[in-house]
Amino acid sequence: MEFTHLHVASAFSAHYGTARPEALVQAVASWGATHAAITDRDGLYGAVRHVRTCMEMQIKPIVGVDLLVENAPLNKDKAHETKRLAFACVHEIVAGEVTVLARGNNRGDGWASLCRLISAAYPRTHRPGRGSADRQAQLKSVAHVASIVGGDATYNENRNKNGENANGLNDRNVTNEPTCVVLLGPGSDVGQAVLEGKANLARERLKAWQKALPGAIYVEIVCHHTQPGTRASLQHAAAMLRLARSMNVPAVITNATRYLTPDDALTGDVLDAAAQLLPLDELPTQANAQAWLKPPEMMYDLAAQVCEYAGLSRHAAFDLLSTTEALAAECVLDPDADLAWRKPKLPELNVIGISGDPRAILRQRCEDALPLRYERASSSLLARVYNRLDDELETISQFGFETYFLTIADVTNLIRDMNVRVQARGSGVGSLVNYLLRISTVDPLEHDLLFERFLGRDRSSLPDIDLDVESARRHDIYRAIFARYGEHRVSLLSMQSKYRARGATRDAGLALGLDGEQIDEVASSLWRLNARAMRSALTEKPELRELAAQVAEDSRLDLLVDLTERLDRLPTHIAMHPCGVILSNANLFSVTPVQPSGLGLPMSQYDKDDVDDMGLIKLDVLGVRMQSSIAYSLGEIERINGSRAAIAGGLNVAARYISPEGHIDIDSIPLNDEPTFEAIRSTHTLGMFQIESPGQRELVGKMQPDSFTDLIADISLFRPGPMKANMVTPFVNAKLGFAQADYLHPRFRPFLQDSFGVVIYHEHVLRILHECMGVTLAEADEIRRRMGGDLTWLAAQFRTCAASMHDDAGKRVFSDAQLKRIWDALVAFGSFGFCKAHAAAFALTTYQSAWLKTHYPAEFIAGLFEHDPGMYPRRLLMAEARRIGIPILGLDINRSNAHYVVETLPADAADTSNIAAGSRPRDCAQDNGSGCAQDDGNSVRPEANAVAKQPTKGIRLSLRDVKGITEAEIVRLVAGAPYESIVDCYQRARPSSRVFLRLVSVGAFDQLAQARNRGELVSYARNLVTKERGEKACDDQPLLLSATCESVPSGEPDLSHDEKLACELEVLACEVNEHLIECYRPMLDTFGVCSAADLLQLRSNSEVLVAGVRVATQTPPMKTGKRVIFISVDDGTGVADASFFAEAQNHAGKVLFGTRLLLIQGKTRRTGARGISIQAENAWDLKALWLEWQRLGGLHLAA
Amino acid sequence: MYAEALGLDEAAVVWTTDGVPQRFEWRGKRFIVGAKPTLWYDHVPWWRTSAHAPKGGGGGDLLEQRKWQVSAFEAETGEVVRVDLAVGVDPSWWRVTRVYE
Repeated sequence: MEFTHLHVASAFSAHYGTARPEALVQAVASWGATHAAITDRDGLYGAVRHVRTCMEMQIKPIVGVDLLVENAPLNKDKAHETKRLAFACVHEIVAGEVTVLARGNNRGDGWASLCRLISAAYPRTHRPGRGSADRQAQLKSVAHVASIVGGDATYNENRNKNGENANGLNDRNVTNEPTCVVLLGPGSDVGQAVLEGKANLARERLKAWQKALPGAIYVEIVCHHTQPGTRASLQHAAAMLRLARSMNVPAVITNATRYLTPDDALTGDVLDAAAQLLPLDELPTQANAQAWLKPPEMMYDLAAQVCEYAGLSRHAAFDLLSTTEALAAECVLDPDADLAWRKPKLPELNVIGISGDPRAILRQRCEDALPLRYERASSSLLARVYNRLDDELETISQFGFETYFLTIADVTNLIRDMNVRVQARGSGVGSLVNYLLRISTVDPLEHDLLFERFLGRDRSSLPDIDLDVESARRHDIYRAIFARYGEHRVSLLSMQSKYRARGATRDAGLALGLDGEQIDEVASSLWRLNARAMRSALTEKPELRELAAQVAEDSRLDLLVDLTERLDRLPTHIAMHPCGVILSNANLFSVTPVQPSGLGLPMSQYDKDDVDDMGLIKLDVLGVRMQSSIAYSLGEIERINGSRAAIAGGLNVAARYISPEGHIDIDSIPLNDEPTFEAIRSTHTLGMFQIESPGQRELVGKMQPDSFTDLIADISLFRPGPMKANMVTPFVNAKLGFAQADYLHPRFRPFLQDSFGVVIYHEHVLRILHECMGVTLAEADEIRRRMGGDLTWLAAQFRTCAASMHDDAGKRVFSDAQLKRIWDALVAFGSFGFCKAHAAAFALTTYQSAWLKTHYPAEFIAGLFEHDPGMYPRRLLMAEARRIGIPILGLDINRSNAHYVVETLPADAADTSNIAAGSRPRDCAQDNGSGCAQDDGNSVRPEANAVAKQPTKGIRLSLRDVKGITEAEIVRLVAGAPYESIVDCYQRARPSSRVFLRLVSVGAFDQLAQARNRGELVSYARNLVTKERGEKACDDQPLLLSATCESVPSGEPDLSHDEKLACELEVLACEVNEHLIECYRPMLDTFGVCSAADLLQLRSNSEVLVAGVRVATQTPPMKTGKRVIFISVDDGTGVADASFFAEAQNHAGKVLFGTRLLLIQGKTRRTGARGISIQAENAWDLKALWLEWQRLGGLHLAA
Repeated sequence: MYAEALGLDEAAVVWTTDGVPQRFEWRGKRFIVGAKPTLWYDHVPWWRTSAHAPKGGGGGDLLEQRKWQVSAFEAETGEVVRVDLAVGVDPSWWRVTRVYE
């Protein structure tokens, strides 16, 4: 019993379908179906997945789309029609729904038409948003559809003499038949006319379709047993069948499927409510729950019922069903012939600037780069380099990937020519070819990286190369790529946003008509959870106790939880993928549909997995804020120091990587700068890429890195797997000399050196397998990829191969004992290994950021303020700046602009009012007399004296910080500077009065009007503003406002310290001069609270109290499975890290997740040479405590 | 929508054959069902009546109400009506939910 559903929406029809494509295919497979179709709304979002699943299950795939087509005007009179349209509020009146299926086995014609039809339905500009009742895609008319899928549609001129395009497909229709078929169901213009009883109109419309697409029109019969006289009722279906038969149009039967099971219809209701932003009580709901994937028997029954109602014979039912199956057969797609499945579609050679043989050109470019990259290589190193190059080029040749590499090189050069920082990340960093082409920035030979980890032997699809670029320039780069390769070769990538707990709770709550506040409360408690796990979370987590009690009492809340769980992970809307760019040959639009991205550039409807299957090149251009910060810092270094840059950084003036103008080529700095490593070892790593988190600080404190290799190891070890498996301990012990490094076997020593014998890297495993089993490195990578989880499949083979390895003397290389230990290490490695190439690229940025913080802290921290790359809020970075002696300079109307700029302060630092109170230079690298880098093998003279004479640099706050300030205001304020007086600024730059008052209140005019205190200025400003408002009524009178500060009235008291601080926090969201914890100083001192900086002086296991602003909260997965909460607080002297286990969590309760200022009690725990943390016992809301303490007259309270 | 004024909810006792209504008693009168009754499924405001709706919990039954649209004539007077009969769990638990004008 065969039945093929031809009209099926998956969950990728956002806010409409509920079942994943895979689930739908599996369901039909369970009936023994041989065909399966997918027809999502407005796109092919689920289509590639569908095809992939069909291939896996050996089912024939059919793909189509459900689109709206505007109805032809009823009345020839346009004016009348426009008026009618203006009053139509439901889309069905002005447009009809059609289902378009691609015909198959026509060399890709059907697929190409389908893609182009969908692309044509989208307006050029629109923002993708929620899938809402207003579907954004709509075709203009029947003729519009026919122009794209009809028999005489042609697409492009790039063809060879066989009429094939660059994909080897012929997407011009040679047979002159339409390439797709159109199903006209109850929602179509025909179906609407039938429903309204307008038989003539229905016939006219059907005729129009037939004329436009002869032989490709089918009437779609759908019976959902809705109320008689409504859409998709038995009556409606029967009438449509009669119409089809009377006009000799073939008819098929479908179930216009939205769901897998009837139960899903409840979810459908909630989705409909969410889409229309209405509570269920007010929603015009779907008719019933019949639109599910009914099994063949039920569909046969439906066919019989419709025919019987229509007064037709049983034979008619048979016709209906067999026509359906015949159409299914016609629409089967052949993945190879129709989709060029997985076949790479690369840009044409001339487009990437190549004429000639790509193979020769690639080799030439690599060889040309050798002198630059390996300038001072010894002859033995050069020999190795050449060997390696030959190997890599050989492998690349075997795959025919030369053009791919040249393309990526072309893109990288394009980016670099725009003066934007770019470097590759991932396994591609292990390739010498990439290094020579300047795609990557790390020397793979120096760091022992393997090409085979990147491109092995059995790879059938293109490798992935990801590029890190400056985040702030990312959009510029996209536009440049589009301009360079042409818009028919480039598109952006999309991704599907999914419901998570918070959004799901909100939408479910709105559907139930719950109170907005109540929903907010529930949603904010649950935001960190998976929506599907809400019930269990409510019973398990202590901080949700209150909420759980509420749910038990209020049945609507109970229902809310159920509905929220239903929404979990359903796609909500498509969004632009933040990094992906697709590059292709000129036939991109025949391969993928595109829609507007919101950026003015089109995006493909495929996500990253789909793109792989379709053979499109996807380039991930990742915006990394740290790269923007680094670029900014380098700019500031050059600007503020100029020719004195080397001296200012404590570096050798002869250093090759610093130009005479002060431009630093940071990609060329030597990787062994001792002061940089010292700074890292101090664990004051705030701002350093990837190593600033509390956990990293602890790890760094333990392992005390002193080389670049150590940094690579640190980054690889700091992941749940290795941490849980405690791979850190043997590493640290061997490194610090507490234990002998265990290399498992003498032959492993050369390549396990970099990690003191611990098997950390994928590259290690490749080498071990190579040594033990005699396989090639490429084969080893294949084995490695299968090594997650249970390894019994490998055990026997491993042992046999390894046991049979003999040396020249005939002796076994590996003893049984050795093999056991090696095998244990491999098993442990299983899921913990990390790609060293990946880590090396990260480590480079870590090192560069640390180097900058060490040598140019002011410029570096200004870069951090500007682009905010790290995990900590800006105010903590400001505290860090103060801590190391870099003053934070408050807002100054004549000095602040749109950016955070470094300012050199006069030598006597006269500007005391703006300099941090109580700052002590600490860990300032410039104070280390020997802050110079080794370079060129020359010894360097310490520039201690020069350092001592360095002028102080401070960082000036930016106008951006002012609460509520607009871009336009910033532009005006900057353009009008310098100002002579407060009034001058107010009149010329015209800031809004709110912003103006805020500027005054944080001292932006203090310098300008030095003779007055801030209280007087605030008063004056208020008067100015009020006067201005009052005088607006009488325009002709000129404002009689004095221009000089002598006329600012005096006599007002100044703002108190607390008032100033309050203003700063209010307006700038940070304290300028002093850490806000100081407000609580009296209480802290009474309680004997210890500062973060002083913790290291305590012995392990001492009782201690710490206090501060929460800067990090983490709940990483733990070995035991029990939840531990890590909280870090900052008090201006450093960061204190505390861990809360179950008992402490119970004591502290809610405080752990909401409260900003904390007092924590616990016991100290030494974690390493420079590491200390606190095992917490309890925690309190500091602010609440303070208020209570004051109320009680400031007496000492027992903890 | 559920704010409609047309909604009725009146008790009826129904006799069926193979599930299809043949006769019923309603408002104290007896009716005989005429030409082919039409089965249809209506949408129920399940969010008002259900406390729970867990995924996979057979929610289709919560959302739908089976109904028969029937034309019937009153046994004594021959009065003709067209009504919706909502199926109940047993013959005396059916409801008349709409009278068509």
